[in-house]
Amino acid sequence: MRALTGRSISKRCMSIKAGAILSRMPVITKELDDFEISYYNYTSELEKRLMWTFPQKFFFRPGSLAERDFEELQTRPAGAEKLVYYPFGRPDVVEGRDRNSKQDIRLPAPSYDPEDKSSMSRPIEPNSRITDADKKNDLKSLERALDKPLYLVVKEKSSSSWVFPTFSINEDSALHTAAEEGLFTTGGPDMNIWTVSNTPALVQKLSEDRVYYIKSHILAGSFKLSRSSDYIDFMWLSSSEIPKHVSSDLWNCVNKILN
Amino acid sequence: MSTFRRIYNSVPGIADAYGAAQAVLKKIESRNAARIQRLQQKIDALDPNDAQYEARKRQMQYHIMQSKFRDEINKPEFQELILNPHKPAPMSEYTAREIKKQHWHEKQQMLLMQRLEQLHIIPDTLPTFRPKVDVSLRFPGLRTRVLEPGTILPSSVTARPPVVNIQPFDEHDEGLYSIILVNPDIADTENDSFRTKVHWVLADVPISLTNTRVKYPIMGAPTEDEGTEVLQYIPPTPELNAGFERLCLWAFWQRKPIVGIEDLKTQFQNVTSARQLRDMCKRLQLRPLGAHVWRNRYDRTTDSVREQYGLPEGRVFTPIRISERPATKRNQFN
Amino acid sequence: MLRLSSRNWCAPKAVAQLKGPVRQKSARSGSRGGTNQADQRILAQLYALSAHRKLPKVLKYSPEDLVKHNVIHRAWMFYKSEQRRERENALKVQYECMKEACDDLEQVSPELFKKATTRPRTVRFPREIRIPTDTPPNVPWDSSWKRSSENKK
Repeated sequence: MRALTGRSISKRCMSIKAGAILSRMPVITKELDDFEISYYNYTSELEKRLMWTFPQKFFFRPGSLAERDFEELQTRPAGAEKLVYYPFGRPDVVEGRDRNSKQDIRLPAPSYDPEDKSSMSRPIEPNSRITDADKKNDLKSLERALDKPLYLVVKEKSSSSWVFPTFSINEDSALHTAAEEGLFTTGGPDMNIWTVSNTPALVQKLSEDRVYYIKSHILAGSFKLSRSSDYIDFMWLSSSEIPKHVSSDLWNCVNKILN
Repeated sequence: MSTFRRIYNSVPGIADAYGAAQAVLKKIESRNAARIQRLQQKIDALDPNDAQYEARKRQMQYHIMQSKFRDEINKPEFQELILNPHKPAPMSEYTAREIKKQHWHEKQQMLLMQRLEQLHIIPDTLPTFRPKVDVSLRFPGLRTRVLEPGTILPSSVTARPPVVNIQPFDEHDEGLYSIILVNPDIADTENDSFRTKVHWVLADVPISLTNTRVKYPIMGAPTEDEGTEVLQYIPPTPELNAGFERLCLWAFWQRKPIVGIEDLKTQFQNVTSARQLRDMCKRLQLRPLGAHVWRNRYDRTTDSVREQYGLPEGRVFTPIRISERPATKRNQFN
Repeated sequence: MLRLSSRNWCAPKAVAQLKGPVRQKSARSGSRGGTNQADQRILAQLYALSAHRKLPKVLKYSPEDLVKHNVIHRAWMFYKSEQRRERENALKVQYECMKEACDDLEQVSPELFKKATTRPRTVRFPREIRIPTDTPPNVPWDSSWKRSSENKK
């Protein structure tokens, strides 16, 4: 901890440092709760039941081939016959739709060439939400835990404790520039970092010393720890994993501004 | 009913969503339970010798009840009650009471107040009041479920006393009740005005949240859950051409059991004005909490009621011109 | 003339004028042959927009299902309001932390404070910011990003 040089500060001897909270924002949406899944399912079923009948004549011109193909796929409900007793309710079929239930529409699957990988008609296969990094639990990877924000924590050379990176402030530089430059010297230049603001988000007071944390996001690239820095190791952790590695004092302080 | 069940199809997914919803509500409830426990501990920690102990305690208990209410109202049985408020409910439970009270406030209480004011019951018999209990009447000869306040009833129906139910919505409103049936429309030709008459008085009727029926013995001493009939029911017998007679049934909450019931009978029989009635109520420390009203007029059954109950013969009034009206102190300037 | 149901149909603001004469046809004839193409297109659009013969039966819940629906709705309201409250609380706490940091910085170093609180003229989000999607892209994270002359700081 070095004292500041030639600055107009209060007469107490204190060191001011700029801390960096570098986060990777989530790449995918949050995992849905049980309640959310079942609620959305119920409301969508309700909406389908209340939905107007599909205006087939608008989308498929009557008499066209497309209309014929479409009609072949549909299962039209049987209408009500006179003099027939329907124990489970008399069907009320209008324009090929039973008015008492949701409409079952089957869309024709477009034909595609399986050999042609770039065909526009090929079916969409969404990528898995769990990546290799999740399976291997690679704590240095930025592809882990895609639905949560990941925060950079580094291991100090001197105390071997896990902290958020802090950097000293030179003459003529501000907190946010010191934090950003510090990140580049520690992690290499190949990072696309966006500093959210020049205003500090948090102050950590250790007796007379101050660390002002600046929030920033990594948008691309990777953190490659340089050998010359004060830190010997790094990890990308989600906010539930941080308290297991970081000291409880630091966690109680920084906890308030992490999601 | 079975046909509807057979042809009914629920929206798919409702069962799962309902299960998940209940789990969420349970979690919220368990969290609130901790908060309620803390509040309870605060109540226990209060100093009983403090001047404001009772007030503070009541306030905190009210907060606890409100918290419980907000959780319980999500339960299916109470949601059902909100949809069908006419169904019987366990009135000993706070939530059920609140729902019923809300339902009463929304319609019946407002209707009652409207009728009391429109028919000028409130200035004519007692000064203004705020209803706290739901008084409902049923006449044995009448098939209606709920008698609307202000209904015009035939004399034959009102010849026998009604069955009164008093539903309090608060634990504080339980206790002993008095019932006084007042008629402010007895024609008084000497004074060219109307006199008040008391038709029926019951005292010391025990009413609770679950026991709402007013009971009194026809003969003999009253039992534990019965009141005393101080003044036996006098059927209203209106006079021909004298207009309507308003019969106002007031339900009073008694501070303590009434003493000297035997003298009261003559006192009530001697009541001729609203003022006298008000003074009596003040003396007996009666607090009006509920009311009801119906109207009678001379109809074809009134004479038979007079005959049946040995009441004096009625008078027949005729309309007279103002010029022919005898001058009295009242109308000397008209 | 085509009979359109007036029940749930909101007429489009500018009803296009039918160009040619429309032959008198019975309302039952489904095909729209005999009218010219422009009219056909308009009629098709009006048909699609109108509720004519497209409305399902009014949904009637059983008493038990109605109770369930209400309970679900109440639980959802509670759930969402809790989420909202937590979010607002978190924002409040973040603001308090920021305020405390700035107040402290003002006491400690007025120079740094001034540099930290001067607002830039325009605040822009970077173009590379990506909104979360339900599933990740083929390359979930671009680790091979290199600083070049274009994106030099």
